[in-house]
Amino acid sequence: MKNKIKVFRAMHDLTQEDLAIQLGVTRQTILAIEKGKYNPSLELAFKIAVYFGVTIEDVFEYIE
Amino acid sequence: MKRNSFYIFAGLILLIEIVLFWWSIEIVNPLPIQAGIVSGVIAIFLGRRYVDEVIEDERTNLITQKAAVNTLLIFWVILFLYSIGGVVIGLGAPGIRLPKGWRPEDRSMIDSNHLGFFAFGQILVLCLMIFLYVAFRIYYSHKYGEWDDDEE
Repeated sequence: MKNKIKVFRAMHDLTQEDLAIQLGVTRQTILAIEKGKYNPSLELAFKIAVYFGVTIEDVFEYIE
Repeated sequence: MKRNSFYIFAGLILLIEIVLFWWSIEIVNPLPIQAGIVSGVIAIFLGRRYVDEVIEDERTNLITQKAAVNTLLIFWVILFLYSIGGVVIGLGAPGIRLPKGWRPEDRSMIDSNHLGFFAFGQILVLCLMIFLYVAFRIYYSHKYGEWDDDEE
């Protein structure tokens, strides 16, 4: 699964630490999601999308 | 409390446990180490509540779950093998009533000191479980990007 969290972070001028604090997760989790090593739960995916004010499809892209 | 302060706190508790273990052996009384372990577990459990930073989330929980399940899968086989060996030795002792002719030869009653060796073996098996768990944690932490470099 690909994602554009890094892009959205850059647009909002946020560090991984800032976003992690806002979402209540560790910085390593944000890093792991960005690198595609960890797929977030549906709840966290929604939290990320809501935080950036976009839809899940805007942030995450499913690739078979 | 910061995350690193909590780890130092946990390390201090571990040191206290080692001292208590040594003291228990010196006075030949298991009560200090048993009470110490219970107190230590409670102290660490309560200490975690005072950590300001997020130290666990869904990814760390996933790592913990996967490591624990895989450790359990292997550990129960090892513990079962060890325990079945103990049962065989135990049933071979004359303290257990068995029909005549079931035992190949007369055997002496298991000395109570030998139970200590059995417990020692059990602790070794438990240590193996800890090593297994740590190994699985390292594997899954690596898999889910615990030690990846920050690209920022």
